[in-house]
Amino acid sequence: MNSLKRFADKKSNAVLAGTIIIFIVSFLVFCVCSIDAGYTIAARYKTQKITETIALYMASYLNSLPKDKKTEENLNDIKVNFENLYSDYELSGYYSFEIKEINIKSSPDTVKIKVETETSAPSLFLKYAGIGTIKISQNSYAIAEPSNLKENNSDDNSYIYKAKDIITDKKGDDIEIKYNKSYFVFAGLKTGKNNDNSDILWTDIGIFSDDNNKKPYSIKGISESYNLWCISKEDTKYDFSKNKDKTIGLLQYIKIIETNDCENPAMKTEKNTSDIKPLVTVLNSAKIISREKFTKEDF
Amino acid sequence: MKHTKYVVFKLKKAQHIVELALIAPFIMFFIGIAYQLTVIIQTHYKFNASLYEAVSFMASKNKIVKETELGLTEEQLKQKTVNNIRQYAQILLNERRAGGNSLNIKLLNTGDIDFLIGTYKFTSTFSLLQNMANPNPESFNYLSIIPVNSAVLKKNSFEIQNEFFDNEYELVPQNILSEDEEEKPETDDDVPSDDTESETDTTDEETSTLDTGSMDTLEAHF
Repeated sequence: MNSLKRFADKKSNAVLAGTIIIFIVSFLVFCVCSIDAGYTIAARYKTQKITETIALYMASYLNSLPKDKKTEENLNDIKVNFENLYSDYELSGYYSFEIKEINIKSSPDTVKIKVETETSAPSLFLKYAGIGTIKISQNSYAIAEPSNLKENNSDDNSYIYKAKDIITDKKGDDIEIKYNKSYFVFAGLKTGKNNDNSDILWTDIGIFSDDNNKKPYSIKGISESYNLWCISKEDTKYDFSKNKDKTIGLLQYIKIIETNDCENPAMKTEKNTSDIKPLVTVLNSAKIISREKFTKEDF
Repeated sequence: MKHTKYVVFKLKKAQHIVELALIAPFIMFFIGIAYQLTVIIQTHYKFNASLYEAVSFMASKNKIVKETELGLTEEQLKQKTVNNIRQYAQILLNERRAGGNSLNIKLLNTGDIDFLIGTYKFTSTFSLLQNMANPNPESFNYLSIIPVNSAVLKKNSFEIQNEFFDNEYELVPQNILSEDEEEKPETDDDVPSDDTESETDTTDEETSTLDTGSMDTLEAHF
């Protein structure tokens, strides 16, 4: 009887030990899968960010080109650059990075683009189970189009326009001003958190204009003096990369001061409210869009 | 009989203690590995988060060229911004107790998009794992590439205070351009020669307390 009891005890112990071993192994497999799943999610998020950057960059780049050059062939350099950089395992941690598909829809002043990328990310532990790489595919859609600025807080002798988002310097022409009068033009950037415009710093951007007849002036205050240009061309484009001595990377405001003419200008002339206001357009405003907006044909 | 039962019980208890002592090092080893893996993954997260946070913070700070920076080139000014990003990210890493002071950021200039390549070296305190995982301690080096709009790294030439337009001022024509230069106004030569000299009123309210030392620039390899 005793020996039978001992045998039963030993059997239950063996079952218990087996159960514990199965539990530990399952738990380890679960932990390993969880770590790799977390790693994959992080890699997926990172790949999405890269894809969005590529889509924005490509859309903005294509929109700065003439209509007949808005093709995939002109994106080859950018494509190769990104692929080389992110396929370098030592730098990016990815085995390979490939731009699988580029789909472009363009009109003379707007570009919509779809970019699909595929990344081979190394697994952390699953490689010991034969799964060495995890392939991640991501899509991103972007649009680059002109966007008009809204008039904001203008005063007696000037028009002030404010962009909803910060405008950045891009390849090619950046802004366009349509105005049938002579004027001085300034770009502004807010440097504080005041609700009024008192903390905006300004600079002349006439120097960047494509007006061949622009006239240089100096504006002299009580103790300061600045250079500026009088613009008389009705439809003027401004490229902020045009002049190496002046750097405009970011701006948010445009101030236009009307003057009588560029030969003998006077800046304190008061605006005539019945006049047609200047139209300020950001030529290459790039943003991420949804798949639905990309699919919708509105050109 | 009672005495024998007591001895057997004692023996069993001792056996359990000995068995526990035998497997304790293995249990501690696995706990150590689990802990170290957590630290490594968490450090990776802290490193990436700090870098992204520093870039987005510095994207809107110190954007105006200061009076002392007027002679510097655009690339040198960009480098200053990158160095500020590095120092701010290092502060964030220290506050998040990631440890070490080995953060480095290199700038890869490629045109409209620049790449910030961040490296951070983490030294494992659990030397056994370090040796097991890879004899090369470089394996604990974290890397992150952040594509940045190059315009965000630039410092801008805004110089006119808003109050300037509220006061009296006069316009004086400039006759500094030669006839040849006037024929080619599209070139860089159409910049007035005293342009930078007049930029003496630059003020930057958000003065950086971060060090602005020099930093090597990584050569573009494409």
